[in-house]
Amino acid sequence: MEKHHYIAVVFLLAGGILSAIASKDFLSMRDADILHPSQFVTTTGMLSDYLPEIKGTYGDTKVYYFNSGNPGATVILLGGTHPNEPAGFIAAAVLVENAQVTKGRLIVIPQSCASGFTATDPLEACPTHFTINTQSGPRTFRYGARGGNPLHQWPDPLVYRHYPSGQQLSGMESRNLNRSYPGRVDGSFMERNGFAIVQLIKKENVDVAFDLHEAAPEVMIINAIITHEKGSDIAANAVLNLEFEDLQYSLEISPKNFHGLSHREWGDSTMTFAFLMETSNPSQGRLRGVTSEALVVEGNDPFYKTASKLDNVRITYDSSGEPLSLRVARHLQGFKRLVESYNEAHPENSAIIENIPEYNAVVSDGVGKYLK
Amino acid sequence: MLFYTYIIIAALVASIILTELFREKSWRNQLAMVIILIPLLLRIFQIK
Repeated sequence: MEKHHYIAVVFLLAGGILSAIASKDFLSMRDADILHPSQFVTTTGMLSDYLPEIKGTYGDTKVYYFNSGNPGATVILLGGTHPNEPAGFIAAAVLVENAQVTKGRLIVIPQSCASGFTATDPLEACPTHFTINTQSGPRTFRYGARGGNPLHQWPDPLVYRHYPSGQQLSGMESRNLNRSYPGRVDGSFMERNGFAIVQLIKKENVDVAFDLHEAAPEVMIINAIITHEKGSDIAANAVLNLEFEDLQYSLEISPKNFHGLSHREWGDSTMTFAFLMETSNPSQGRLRGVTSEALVVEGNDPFYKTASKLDNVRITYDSSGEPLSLRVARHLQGFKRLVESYNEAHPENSAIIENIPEYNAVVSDGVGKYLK
Repeated sequence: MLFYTYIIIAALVASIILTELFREKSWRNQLAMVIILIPLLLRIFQIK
């Protein structure tokens, strides 16, 4: 062997070690997050129970059922549609670990886009995990990507044509669960995922459906409730009640010609009243600095703080930060008031969901107190 | 189908780089080749 052969071997070994380190980090995102269901969870199932074609794929995900045994409305709540919006997933986890249903049923899917939890978005420098101090000590959860993992659906088309509307969107949106509804059984990986969720809503006769999201502080629709027009009265009543608690939510009606989103397609293709909620998450924003675990959990960013003081920048960012506890609290309180508002409008078919932590308690105690 | 075509192309490119790595005499070029090899290997083994 000549000298350059030895150098090649040394470089290969060094490359192998670096690859192994990176691989360990990447593969750790395939380990499922562990939830500790409340004693009131009656059964658990999988999304593939509604579409066997997704069984054994990264489209399959856990479904938690709370059945009171008393006739009433069926409510579903989805977290983790976009795995880089952790308040939705954590709010769903709080429900799974605490809620008690005394009338009707509650179905929770904490990680609706399971594929997206197995990778982070390229070029975003996001952490793969974040940690919350809970009753049982620190618990680590995955911080994923907005869309599904490209390993599970690739390549992205140049233009994504939504089925069945034919609406054209950016190619990367083909991996976005919230552009895939109502989906189709013989479609792409993500269209099948969306189809399975719509099948669940239909087969379980879901009356009220929630999809929890977050967005960058500079996005126009923030701290908002977006609803299909069928649910506008229910949402308006809830927004007023939230206003009495000094919680501001803007009310948006789902655009009729913007297809693929949960609030549009669930409302159009099923009997359910569909609601989507947004909070302000600085770890998603374009103005942010270092994207660390601390930013995800504490929501404190010096650049947003500076921007919030400028008159010509429209952002929704409290100068003291937008911590995860506050964002989860907003989701839980919005969920609670929307269900109450639905009950007022449909007293003959209501759902009573108890043990949902109060807004002020989650903000002051921290969300970790409500995770086992 | 396109996915597997991509994996085959990535494997071919990786094998060419590997061959060239042992022919190359400049250590700077060898270093560059190994750096290029890492993402290709992660893709071929479907790790990232």
